[in-house]
Amino acid sequence: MKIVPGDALDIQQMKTTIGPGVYKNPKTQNIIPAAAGYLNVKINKKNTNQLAYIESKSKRYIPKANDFVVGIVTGTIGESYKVSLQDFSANVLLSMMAFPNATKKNRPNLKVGQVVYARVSQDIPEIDIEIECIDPATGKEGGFGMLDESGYIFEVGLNYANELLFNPSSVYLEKLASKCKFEVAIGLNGKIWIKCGDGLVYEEDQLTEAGANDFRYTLAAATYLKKCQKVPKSQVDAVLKESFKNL
Amino acid sequence: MKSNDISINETKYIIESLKQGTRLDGRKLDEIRKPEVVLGDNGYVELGWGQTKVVIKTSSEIVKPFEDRPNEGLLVINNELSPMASIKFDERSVDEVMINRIIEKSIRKSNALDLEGLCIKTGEKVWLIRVDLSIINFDGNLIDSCCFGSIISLIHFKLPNYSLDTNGNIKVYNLDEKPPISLSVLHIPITLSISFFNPLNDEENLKSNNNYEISVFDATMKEELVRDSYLVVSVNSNKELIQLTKLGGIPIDSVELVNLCQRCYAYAEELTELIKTTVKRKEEEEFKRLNLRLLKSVDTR
Repeated sequence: MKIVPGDALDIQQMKTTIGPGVYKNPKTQNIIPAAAGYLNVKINKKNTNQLAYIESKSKRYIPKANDFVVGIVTGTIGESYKVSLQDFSANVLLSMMAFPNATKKNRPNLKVGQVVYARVSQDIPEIDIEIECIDPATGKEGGFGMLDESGYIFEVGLNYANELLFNPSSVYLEKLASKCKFEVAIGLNGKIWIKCGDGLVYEEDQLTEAGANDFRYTLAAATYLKKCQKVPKSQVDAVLKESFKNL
Repeated sequence: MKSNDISINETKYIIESLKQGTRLDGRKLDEIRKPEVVLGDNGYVELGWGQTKVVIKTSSEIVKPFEDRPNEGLLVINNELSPMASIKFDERSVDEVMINRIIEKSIRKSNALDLEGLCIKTGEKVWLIRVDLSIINFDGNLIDSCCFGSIISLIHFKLPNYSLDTNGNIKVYNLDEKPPISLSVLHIPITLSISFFNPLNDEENLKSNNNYEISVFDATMKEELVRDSYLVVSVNSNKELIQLTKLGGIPIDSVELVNLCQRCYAYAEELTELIKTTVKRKEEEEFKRLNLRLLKSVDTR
Protein backbone atom coordinates (compact mmCIF):
# COMPACT_ATOMS: atom_id res chain seq x y z
CA MET A 1 0.00 0.00 0.00
CA LYS A 2 1.29 3.44 -0.87
CA ILE A 3 1.43 5.93 1.96
CA VAL A 4 2.57 9.54 2.48
CA PRO A 5 3.20 11.58 5.64
CA GLY A 6 -0.11 12.92 6.90
CA ASP A 7 -2.03 9.75 6.11
CA ALA A 8 -3.40 7.71 8.99
CA LEU A 9 -1.36 4.57 9.60
CA ASP A 10 -4.02 1.97 9.05
CA ILE A 11 -2.80 -1.01 11.04
CA GLN A 12 -4.23 -3.32 13.71
CA GLN A 13 -3.90 -2.55 17.40
CA MET A 14 -1.31 -4.89 18.82
CA LYS A 15 2.24 -4.84 20.05
CA THR A 16 4.11 -3.13 17.22
CA THR A 17 7.77 -2.94 16.33
CA ILE A 18 8.41 0.12 14.19
CA GLY A 19 10.95 0.18 11.40
CA PRO A 20 12.24 2.87 9.05
CA GLY A 21 9.76 5.53 7.93
CA VAL A 22 7.45 5.15 10.92
CA TYR A 23 7.55 7.63 13.81
CA LYS A 24 6.17 7.41 17.32
CA ASN A 25 4.97 10.62 18.89
CA PRO A 26 6.53 10.53 22.37
CA LYS A 27 3.64 12.44 24.00
CA THR A 28 0.61 10.67 22.62
CA GLN A 29 2.34 7.35 21.79
CA ASN A 30 0.62 7.39 18.39
CA ILE A 31 2.51 6.04 15.44
CA ILE A 32 2.41 7.97 12.19
CA PRO A 33 4.09 7.66 8.78
CA ALA A 34 7.18 9.85 8.36
CA ALA A 35 8.15 8.90 4.79
CA ALA A 36 6.42 8.50 1.45
CA GLY A 37 6.54 4.97 0.07
CA TYR A 38 5.16 1.47 0.41
CA LEU A 39 3.83 0.37 3.79
CA ASN A 40 4.86 -3.13 4.83
CA VAL A 41 3.23 -4.86 7.80
CA LYS A 42 4.39 -8.27 8.93
CA ILE A 43 2.40 -10.08 11.61
CA ASN A 44 3.91 -13.08 13.40
CA LYS A 45 2.28 -16.50 13.34
CA LYS A 46 0.76 -16.30 16.80
CA ASN A 47 -0.93 -13.03 15.87
CA THR A 48 0.55 -11.28 18.90
CA ASN A 49 2.85 -8.68 17.45
CA GLN A 50 3.68 -7.01 14.18
CA LEU A 51 6.42 -5.16 12.38
CA ALA A 52 5.59 -2.00 10.41
CA TYR A 53 7.94 -0.09 8.14
CA ILE A 54 7.78 2.10 5.06
CA GLU A 55 9.94 1.34 2.08
CA SER A 56 10.87 4.62 0.43
CA LYS A 57 13.38 5.86 -2.06
CA SER A 58 15.99 7.94 -0.39
CA LYS A 59 19.58 8.89 -1.00
CA ARG A 60 20.72 10.30 2.34
CA TYR A 61 21.83 7.67 4.81
CA ILE A 62 21.09 8.14 8.50
CA PRO A 63 22.98 5.56 10.60
CA LYS A 64 20.86 3.23 12.75
CA ALA A 65 22.21 0.74 15.28
CA ASN A 66 22.88 -2.74 13.85
CA ASP A 67 23.01 -1.55 10.22
CA PHE A 68 25.72 -3.14 8.09
CA VAL A 69 27.75 -0.46 6.34
CA VAL A 70 30.66 -0.08 3.93
CA GLY A 71 32.83 2.89 4.91
CA ILE A 72 35.95 4.61 3.66
CA VAL A 73 38.71 5.40 6.18
CA THR A 74 39.47 9.13 5.99
CA GLY A 75 41.83 9.67 8.92
CA THR A 76 42.50 9.00 12.58
CA ILE A 77 41.55 10.74 15.82
CA GLY A 78 43.37 9.41 18.89
CA GLU A 79 42.46 5.77 19.30
CA SER A 80 39.86 5.77 16.52
CA TYR A 81 39.61 5.87 12.77
CA LYS A 82 37.40 8.43 11.07
CA VAL A 83 35.19 6.66 8.57
CA SER A 84 33.02 8.25 5.87
CA LEU A 85 29.78 6.39 5.17
CA GLN A 86 28.54 8.78 2.50
CA ASP A 87 29.95 11.80 0.71
CA PHE A 88 29.42 15.03 2.66
CA SER A 89 27.91 13.46 5.74
CA ALA A 90 29.50 13.58 9.17
CA ASN A 91 32.23 11.01 9.70
CA VAL A 92 31.65 8.14 12.10
CA LEU A 93 34.20 6.64 14.48
CA LEU A 94 35.70 3.17 14.32
CA SER A 95 37.64 2.44 17.48
CA MET A 96 40.93 0.64 17.01
CA MET A 97 39.77 -1.67 19.80
CA ALA A 98 36.62 -2.62 17.87
CA PHE A 99 38.37 -5.41 15.99
CA PRO A 100 38.56 -9.05 17.05
CA ASN A 101 41.62 -9.79 19.18
CA ALA A 102 42.71 -6.14 19.18
CA THR A 103 44.79 -4.93 22.10
CA LYS A 104 46.70 -1.73 22.83
CA LYS A 105 49.77 -3.32 21.31
CA ASN A 106 48.13 -5.37 18.58
CA ARG A 107 46.25 -2.78 16.56
CA PRO A 108 44.79 -3.07 13.12
CA ASN A 109 46.66 -1.06 10.51
CA LEU A 110 44.30 0.78 8.18
CA LYS A 111 45.40 3.40 5.67
CA VAL A 112 43.44 6.42 4.50
CA GLY A 113 41.27 5.41 1.55
CA GLN A 114 40.88 1.79 2.56
CA VAL A 115 37.43 0.33 2.88
CA VAL A 116 35.89 -1.51 5.83
CA TYR A 117 32.71 -3.52 6.32
CA ALA A 118 31.28 -2.81 9.75
CA ARG A 119 28.19 -2.74 11.94
CA VAL A 120 26.79 0.45 13.48
CA SER A 121 27.18 -0.14 17.22
CA GLN A 122 25.90 3.15 18.61
CA ASP A 123 23.60 5.65 16.97
CA ILE A 124 22.94 8.43 19.51
CA PRO A 125 22.67 11.50 17.26
CA GLU A 126 24.01 13.94 19.88
CA ILE A 127 27.43 12.28 20.05
CA ASP A 128 29.69 10.75 17.40
CA ILE A 129 28.24 7.63 15.85
CA GLU A 130 30.35 4.53 16.29
CA ILE A 131 30.83 1.44 14.16
CA GLU A 132 32.66 -1.81 14.93
CA CYS A 133 34.14 -4.72 13.05
CA ILE A 134 33.13 -7.46 15.51
CA ASP A 135 30.19 -9.80 15.30
CA PRO A 136 28.49 -9.14 18.67
CA ALA A 137 27.09 -12.67 18.92
CA THR A 138 30.41 -14.51 18.70
CA GLY A 139 32.98 -11.80 19.40
CA LYS A 140 34.77 -12.90 16.24
CA GLU A 141 35.27 -11.43 12.79
CA GLY A 142 31.97 -12.68 11.36
CA GLY A 143 32.57 -11.25 7.89
CA PHE A 144 33.41 -7.76 9.09
CA GLY A 145 36.76 -6.05 8.73
CA MET A 146 38.90 -4.57 5.99
CA LEU A 147 37.76 -5.14 2.42
CA ASP A 148 40.75 -5.72 0.17
CA GLU A 149 41.88 -3.26 -2.47
CA SER A 150 41.35 -5.56 -5.41
CA GLY A 151 37.57 -5.08 -5.33
CA TYR A 152 35.56 -2.19 -6.74
CA ILE A 153 33.17 -0.02 -4.77
CA PHE A 154 30.20 1.89 -6.15
CA GLU A 155 27.06 3.59 -4.95
CA VAL A 156 23.39 2.63 -5.30
CA GLY A 157 20.09 3.83 -3.83
CA LEU A 158 19.43 2.98 -0.18
CA ASN A 159 16.25 1.01 -0.82
CA TYR A 160 17.99 -1.07 -3.48
CA ALA A 161 20.86 -1.88 -1.11
CA ASN A 162 18.26 -2.90 1.45
CA GLU A 163 16.57 -5.17 -1.07
CA LEU A 164 19.85 -6.82 -2.11
CA LEU A 165 20.90 -7.46 1.47
CA PHE A 166 17.66 -8.57 3.10
CA ASN A 167 15.30 -9.90 0.48
CA PRO A 168 16.06 -13.64 0.12
CA SER A 169 13.85 -13.88 -2.96
CA SER A 170 15.67 -11.06 -4.76
CA VAL A 171 16.88 -12.34 -8.13
CA TYR A 172 19.66 -9.85 -8.93
CA LEU A 173 22.60 -11.53 -7.24
CA GLU A 174 21.46 -15.03 -8.16
CA LYS A 175 21.36 -14.11 -11.82
CA LEU A 176 24.79 -12.50 -11.55
CA ALA A 177 26.12 -15.76 -10.10
CA SER A 178 25.25 -17.51 -13.35
CA LYS A 179 27.83 -15.32 -15.15
CA CYS A 180 30.75 -15.21 -12.77
CA LYS A 181 32.17 -16.05 -9.39
CA PHE A 182 32.06 -13.08 -7.05
CA GLU A 183 32.42 -11.83 -3.52
CA VAL A 184 30.22 -8.96 -2.42
CA ALA A 185 29.71 -6.73 0.63
CA ILE A 186 26.54 -4.66 0.66
CA GLY A 187 26.31 -1.66 2.95
CA LEU A 188 22.95 -0.21 3.91
CA ASN A 189 24.55 3.20 3.35
CA GLY A 190 24.26 2.50 -0.38
CA LYS A 191 27.86 1.48 -0.98
CA ILE A 192 28.58 -1.90 -2.48
CA TRP A 193 31.97 -3.56 -2.64
CA ILE A 194 32.30 -6.29 -5.24
CA LYS A 195 35.08 -8.49 -6.51
CA CYS A 196 34.80 -11.08 -9.27
CA GLY A 197 37.36 -13.85 -9.12
CA ASP A 198 40.46 -12.38 -7.52
CA GLY A 199 39.77 -8.82 -8.68
CA LEU A 200 42.53 -6.43 -9.66
CA VAL A 201 45.79 -8.31 -9.00
CA TYR A 202 49.22 -6.89 -9.75
CA GLU A 203 52.46 -8.80 -9.90
CA GLU A 204 55.52 -6.52 -9.78
CA ASP A 205 53.44 -3.55 -10.91
CA GLN A 206 52.13 -5.48 -13.90
CA LEU A 207 48.52 -6.50 -14.18
CA THR A 208 48.34 -10.28 -14.53
CA GLU A 209 46.28 -11.80 -17.30
CA ALA A 210 43.81 -13.27 -14.84
CA GLY A 211 43.74 -9.88 -13.11
CA ALA A 212 42.80 -8.11 -16.34
CA ASN A 213 40.02 -10.60 -16.91
CA ASP A 214 38.66 -10.34 -13.37
CA PHE A 215 38.90 -6.55 -13.61
CA ARG A 216 36.60 -6.52 -16.62
CA TYR A 217 34.17 -8.93 -14.99
CA THR A 218 34.08 -6.83 -11.82
CA LEU A 219 33.23 -3.69 -13.75
CA ALA A 220 30.58 -5.54 -15.76
CA ALA A 221 29.03 -6.86 -12.56
CA ALA A 222 29.01 -3.34 -11.08
CA THR A 223 27.37 -1.94 -14.21
CA TYR A 224 24.75 -4.68 -14.10
CA LEU A 225 23.90 -4.08 -10.43
CA LYS A 226 23.74 -0.31 -10.96
CA LYS A 227 21.48 -0.60 -13.99
CA CYS A 228 19.14 -3.10 -12.33
CA GLN A 229 17.87 -0.54 -9.86
CA LYS A 230 16.23 1.38 -12.68
CA VAL A 231 14.57 -1.41 -14.70
CA PRO A 232 11.53 -3.64 -14.08
CA LYS A 233 12.18 -7.26 -13.16
CA SER A 234 11.26 -8.50 -16.63
CA GLN A 235 14.25 -6.71 -18.15
CA VAL A 236 16.89 -7.94 -15.70
CA ASP A 237 17.99 -10.74 -18.04
CA ALA A 238 18.46 -8.30 -20.89
CA VAL A 239 20.54 -5.98 -18.71
CA LEU A 240 22.68 -8.91 -17.60
CA LYS A 241 23.31 -9.92 -21.18
CA GLU A 242 24.09 -6.35 -22.23
CA SER A 243 26.53 -5.76 -19.36
CA PHE A 244 28.47 -8.94 -20.06
CA LYS A 245 28.29 -8.84 -23.84
CA ASN A 246 31.95 -7.99 -24.47
CA LEU A 247 33.32 -10.74 -22.25
CA MET B 1 34.92 17.37 8.24
CA LYS B 2 32.41 17.12 5.45
CA SER B 3 34.06 16.28 2.17
CA ASN B 4 33.93 13.76 -0.56
CA ASP B 5 36.65 11.20 -0.24
CA ILE B 6 37.55 8.59 -2.73
CA SER B 7 38.58 5.11 -1.76
CA ILE B 8 41.79 3.40 -2.87
CA ASN B 9 39.62 0.84 -4.66
CA GLU B 10 37.90 3.39 -6.85
CA THR B 11 41.18 5.17 -7.60
CA LYS B 12 42.78 1.91 -8.69
CA TYR B 13 39.89 0.95 -10.90
CA ILE B 14 39.68 4.38 -12.54
CA ILE B 15 43.42 4.44 -13.31
CA GLU B 16 43.44 0.84 -14.52
CA SER B 17 40.54 1.35 -16.88
CA LEU B 18 42.15 4.52 -18.25
CA LYS B 19 45.33 2.54 -18.87
CA GLN B 20 43.28 0.10 -20.90
CA GLY B 21 41.80 2.95 -22.92
CA THR B 22 38.24 2.93 -21.62
CA ARG B 23 36.42 4.65 -18.81
CA LEU B 24 34.11 3.46 -16.09
CA ASP B 25 31.05 4.87 -17.82
CA GLY B 26 31.98 3.16 -21.10
CA ARG B 27 33.22 6.25 -22.95
CA LYS B 28 36.49 6.45 -24.86
CA LEU B 29 39.26 8.63 -23.44
CA ASP B 30 38.61 11.51 -25.82
CA GLU B 31 34.83 11.21 -25.85
CA ILE B 32 32.64 13.86 -24.27
CA ARG B 33 29.19 13.29 -22.84
CA LYS B 34 26.56 14.34 -25.33
CA PRO B 35 24.91 17.54 -24.14
CA GLU B 36 21.13 17.60 -23.97
CA VAL B 37 19.70 21.04 -24.59
CA VAL B 38 16.14 22.13 -23.88
CA LEU B 39 15.30 25.66 -24.92
CA GLY B 40 12.50 27.46 -23.14
CA ASP B 41 11.28 31.04 -23.28
CA ASN B 42 13.45 33.90 -24.43
CA GLY B 43 17.00 33.11 -23.29
CA TYR B 44 16.05 30.22 -21.01
CA VAL B 45 18.15 27.08 -21.43
CA GLU B 46 18.20 23.79 -19.57
CA LEU B 47 21.41 21.93 -20.18
CA GLY B 48 22.12 18.35 -19.23
CA TRP B 49 25.78 17.41 -19.55
CA GLY B 50 25.65 13.80 -18.40
CA GLN B 51 24.46 14.05 -14.82
CA THR B 52 25.61 17.66 -14.52
CA LYS B 53 22.57 19.89 -14.92
CA VAL B 54 22.69 23.63 -15.45
CA VAL B 55 19.87 26.12 -15.94
CA ILE B 56 20.74 29.37 -17.72
CA LYS B 57 18.64 32.49 -18.17
CA THR B 58 19.65 35.62 -20.03
CA SER B 59 17.91 38.91 -19.30
CA SER B 60 18.40 42.55 -20.22
CA GLU B 61 18.00 45.98 -18.69
CA ILE B 62 18.89 49.56 -19.59
CA VAL B 63 21.73 51.13 -17.60
CA LYS B 64 24.23 53.98 -17.78
CA PRO B 65 27.52 52.90 -19.42
CA PHE B 66 30.93 53.17 -17.83
CA GLU B 67 32.48 56.58 -18.39
CA ASP B 68 35.60 55.28 -20.07
CA ARG B 69 33.55 53.23 -22.53
CA PRO B 70 30.53 55.39 -23.28
CA ASN B 71 29.39 53.51 -26.38
CA GLU B 72 29.66 49.92 -25.18
CA GLY B 73 26.97 47.79 -23.64
CA LEU B 74 27.65 45.53 -20.67
CA LEU B 75 27.74 41.77 -20.35
CA VAL B 76 27.53 40.31 -16.87
CA ILE B 77 27.87 36.60 -16.27
CA ASN B 78 26.60 35.60 -12.88
CA ASN B 79 27.30 32.16 -11.56
CA GLU B 80 25.69 30.64 -8.55
CA LEU B 81 27.10 27.45 -7.12
CA SER B 82 24.49 26.44 -4.62
CA PRO B 83 24.88 23.59 -2.15
CA MET B 84 21.83 22.08 -3.82
CA ALA B 85 24.06 20.93 -6.69
CA SER B 86 26.50 19.28 -4.35
CA ILE B 87 27.33 19.96 -0.71
CA LYS B 88 30.85 20.47 -2.01
CA PHE B 89 29.79 24.05 -2.79
CA ASP B 90 28.59 24.81 0.72
CA GLU B 91 31.20 27.50 1.21
CA ARG B 92 32.18 29.92 -1.49
CA SER B 93 34.95 27.97 -3.08
CA VAL B 94 37.87 28.51 -5.38
CA ASP B 95 35.94 26.62 -8.04
CA GLU B 96 33.34 29.33 -8.34
CA VAL B 97 35.94 32.03 -8.96
CA MET B 98 37.77 29.73 -11.38
CA ILE B 99 34.66 29.00 -13.40
CA ASN B 100 33.66 32.65 -13.57
CA ARG B 101 37.11 33.69 -14.72
CA ILE B 102 37.25 31.11 -17.46
CA ILE B 103 33.77 31.96 -18.73
CA GLU B 104 34.71 35.66 -18.71
CA LYS B 105 37.88 34.89 -20.61
CA SER B 106 36.25 32.71 -23.19
CA ILE B 107 33.07 34.70 -23.84
CA ARG B 108 33.45 38.30 -22.75
CA LYS B 109 37.12 38.92 -23.40
CA SER B 110 37.04 37.09 -26.73
CA ASN B 111 34.45 39.59 -27.96
CA ALA B 112 31.95 36.87 -28.70
CA LEU B 113 29.19 39.41 -28.11
CA ASP B 114 29.27 42.68 -30.04
CA LEU B 115 29.02 45.15 -27.17
CA GLU B 116 28.96 48.27 -29.32
CA GLY B 117 25.72 47.08 -30.85
CA LEU B 118 24.13 47.32 -27.42
CA CYS B 119 24.54 51.09 -27.20
CA ILE B 120 21.28 53.06 -27.26
CA LYS B 121 22.51 56.58 -26.62
CA THR B 122 26.24 57.28 -26.24
CA GLY B 123 27.28 57.98 -22.68
CA GLU B 124 23.74 57.78 -21.35
CA LYS B 125 21.99 54.56 -22.06
CA VAL B 126 23.15 51.09 -23.01
CA TRP B 127 21.78 47.57 -22.66
CA LEU B 128 23.11 45.38 -19.91
CA ILE B 129 22.92 41.70 -20.75
CA ARG B 130 22.94 39.44 -17.73
CA VAL B 131 23.50 35.69 -17.93
CA ASP B 132 22.49 33.84 -14.78
CA LEU B 133 23.74 30.31 -14.32
CA SER B 134 22.32 27.99 -11.68
CA ILE B 135 23.82 24.59 -11.21
CA ILE B 136 21.19 22.04 -10.31
CA ASN B 137 23.26 18.90 -10.15
CA PHE B 138 26.98 18.27 -10.17
CA ASP B 139 28.79 15.40 -11.80
CA GLY B 140 32.03 16.97 -12.91
CA ASN B 141 33.03 19.34 -15.65
CA LEU B 142 31.23 22.53 -14.64
CA ILE B 143 33.48 24.70 -16.80
CA ASP B 144 32.52 23.13 -20.12
CA SER B 145 28.84 22.92 -19.34
CA CYS B 146 28.62 26.51 -18.02
CA CYS B 147 30.44 27.99 -21.03
CA PHE B 148 28.38 25.95 -23.46
CA GLY B 149 25.14 26.88 -21.71
CA SER B 150 25.97 30.60 -21.57
CA ILE B 151 26.69 30.86 -25.27
CA ILE B 152 23.51 28.99 -26.27
CA SER B 153 21.54 31.24 -23.96
CA LEU B 154 23.06 34.34 -25.58
CA ILE B 155 22.24 33.07 -29.06
CA HIS B 156 18.73 32.09 -28.03
CA PHE B 157 18.08 35.43 -26.30
CA LYS B 158 16.24 38.23 -28.10
CA LEU B 159 16.45 41.86 -27.10
CA PRO B 160 13.15 43.80 -27.06
CA ASN B 161 12.80 46.28 -29.89
CA TYR B 162 12.99 49.97 -28.98
CA SER B 163 12.81 53.40 -30.56
CA LEU B 164 14.18 56.82 -29.68
CA ASP B 165 11.96 59.85 -30.19
CA THR B 166 13.23 63.38 -30.92
CA ASN B 167 13.36 64.32 -27.22
CA GLY B 168 15.64 61.40 -26.54
CA ASN B 169 13.05 59.29 -24.74
CA ILE B 170 13.27 55.57 -25.20
CA LYS B 171 10.24 53.49 -25.90
CA VAL B 172 10.71 49.76 -25.39
CA TYR B 173 8.17 47.62 -27.23
CA ASN B 174 6.52 44.52 -25.95
CA LEU B 175 7.49 41.31 -27.66
CA ASP B 176 4.08 41.19 -29.41
CA GLU B 177 4.17 44.79 -30.62
CA LYS B 178 7.37 44.62 -32.59
CA PRO B 179 9.54 41.58 -33.31
CA PRO B 180 12.50 41.42 -30.91
CA ILE B 181 16.09 41.50 -32.17
CA SER B 182 18.71 38.79 -31.78
CA LEU B 183 22.01 39.71 -30.17
CA SER B 184 24.91 39.88 -32.57
CA VAL B 185 27.10 36.98 -31.55
CA LEU B 186 30.30 37.29 -33.57
CA HIS B 187 31.66 33.81 -33.00
CA ILE B 188 30.81 30.80 -30.86
CA PRO B 189 33.51 29.94 -28.33
CA ILE B 190 33.51 26.32 -27.17
CA THR B 191 35.39 25.51 -23.98
CA LEU B 192 36.69 22.03 -23.32
CA SER B 193 38.60 20.77 -20.34
CA ILE B 194 41.08 17.96 -20.45
CA SER B 195 42.20 16.07 -17.36
CA PHE B 196 45.60 14.45 -16.98
CA PHE B 197 46.34 11.31 -15.07
CA ASN B 198 49.76 10.04 -14.22
CA PRO B 199 49.64 6.30 -13.61
CA LEU B 200 53.29 6.25 -12.55
CA ASN B 201 54.77 8.34 -9.78
CA ASP B 202 55.67 12.00 -10.23
CA GLU B 203 59.42 11.45 -10.41
CA GLU B 204 59.07 9.19 -13.39
CA ASN B 205 57.19 11.94 -15.12
CA LEU B 206 59.88 14.56 -14.56
CA LYS B 207 62.97 12.46 -15.14
CA SER B 208 62.27 9.96 -17.87
CA ASN B 209 61.72 10.75 -21.50
CA ASN B 210 58.68 8.56 -21.74
CA ASN B 211 55.35 10.22 -21.39
CA TYR B 212 52.91 7.96 -19.75
CA GLU B 213 50.39 10.55 -18.73
CA ILE B 214 46.87 9.91 -19.91
CA SER B 215 44.69 12.74 -21.16
CA VAL B 216 40.95 12.49 -20.79
CA PHE B 217 38.19 14.76 -22.07
CA ASP B 218 35.18 15.74 -19.98
CA ALA B 219 35.95 14.17 -16.60
CA THR B 220 33.19 13.04 -14.26
CA MET B 221 33.15 13.93 -10.57
CA LYS B 222 35.06 10.80 -9.53
CA GLU B 223 37.65 11.34 -12.23
CA GLU B 224 38.07 14.94 -11.12
CA LEU B 225 38.92 13.67 -7.64
CA VAL B 226 41.66 11.41 -8.98
CA ARG B 227 43.21 13.58 -11.71
CA ASP B 228 46.66 15.10 -11.35
CA SER B 229 46.08 18.28 -13.31
CA TYR B 230 43.87 19.74 -15.98
CA LEU B 231 43.88 22.02 -18.96
CA VAL B 232 41.08 24.23 -20.22
CA VAL B 233 41.02 25.18 -23.89
CA SER B 234 38.57 27.52 -25.62
CA VAL B 235 38.37 27.38 -29.38
CA ASN B 236 35.82 28.20 -32.05
CA SER B 237 34.87 26.56 -35.29
CA ASN B 238 37.09 29.00 -37.26
CA LYS B 239 40.03 27.14 -35.73
CA GLU B 240 40.94 30.08 -33.54
CA LEU B 241 42.42 29.42 -30.12
CA ILE B 242 40.76 31.79 -27.66
CA GLN B 243 42.30 30.89 -24.36
CA LEU B 244 44.31 28.16 -22.73
CA THR B 245 44.57 27.67 -18.99
CA LYS B 246 46.70 25.19 -17.13
CA LEU B 247 47.26 25.80 -13.46
CA GLY B 248 50.25 23.78 -12.30
CA GLY B 249 50.16 20.02 -11.93
CA ILE B 250 52.15 17.57 -13.96
CA PRO B 251 54.05 18.82 -17.04
CA ILE B 252 52.76 17.73 -20.41
CA ASP B 253 54.35 17.20 -23.76
CA SER B 254 54.14 20.04 -26.31
CA VAL B 255 53.27 17.68 -29.17
CA GLU B 256 50.49 16.25 -27.02
CA LEU B 257 49.18 19.77 -26.43
CA VAL B 258 48.92 20.44 -30.16
CA ASN B 259 47.16 17.12 -30.69
CA LEU B 260 44.67 17.91 -27.94
CA CYS B 261 43.93 21.30 -29.48
CA GLN B 262 43.31 19.62 -32.83
CA ARG B 263 40.81 17.31 -31.15
CA CYS B 264 39.18 20.36 -29.57
CA TYR B 265 38.66 21.94 -32.98
CA ALA B 266 36.78 18.86 -34.11
CA TYR B 267 34.56 19.06 -31.04
CA ALA B 268 34.06 22.79 -31.55
CA GLU B 269 32.67 22.14 -34.99
CA GLU B 270 30.40 19.40 -33.72
CA LEU B 271 29.07 21.44 -30.80
CA THR B 272 28.66 24.62 -32.87
CA GLU B 273 26.55 22.62 -35.31
CA LEU B 274 24.49 21.30 -32.39
CA ILE B 275 23.87 24.82 -31.09
CA LYS B 276 22.87 26.11 -34.49
CA THR B 277 20.43 23.30 -35.24
CA THR B 278 18.82 23.42 -31.79
CA VAL B 279 18.28 27.17 -31.89
CA LYS B 280 17.00 27.00 -35.45
CA ARG B 281 14.51 24.25 -34.62
CA LYS B 282 13.25 26.23 -31.64
CA GLU B 283 12.82 29.36 -33.79
CA GLU B 284 10.84 27.47 -36.39
CA GLU B 285 8.60 26.04 -33.68
CA GLU B 286 8.07 29.48 -32.24
CA PHE B 287 7.32 30.90 -35.66
CA LYS B 288 4.72 28.21 -36.30
CA ARG B 289 3.10 28.88 -32.95
CA LEU B 290 2.92 32.63 -33.56
CA ASN B 291 1.52 32.09 -37.04
CA LEU B 292 -1.19 29.84 -35.67
CA ARG B 293 -2.10 32.47 -33.13
CA LEU B 294 -2.29 35.09 -35.86
CA LEU B 295 -4.50 32.79 -37.93
CA LYS B 296 -6.73 32.19 -34.93
CA SER B 297 -7.17 35.90 -34.26
CA VAL B 298 -8.05 36.42 -37.91
CA ASP B 299 -10.52 33.60 -37.62
CA THR B 300 -12.36 35.12 -34.65
CA ARG B 301 -12.66 38.53 -36.24
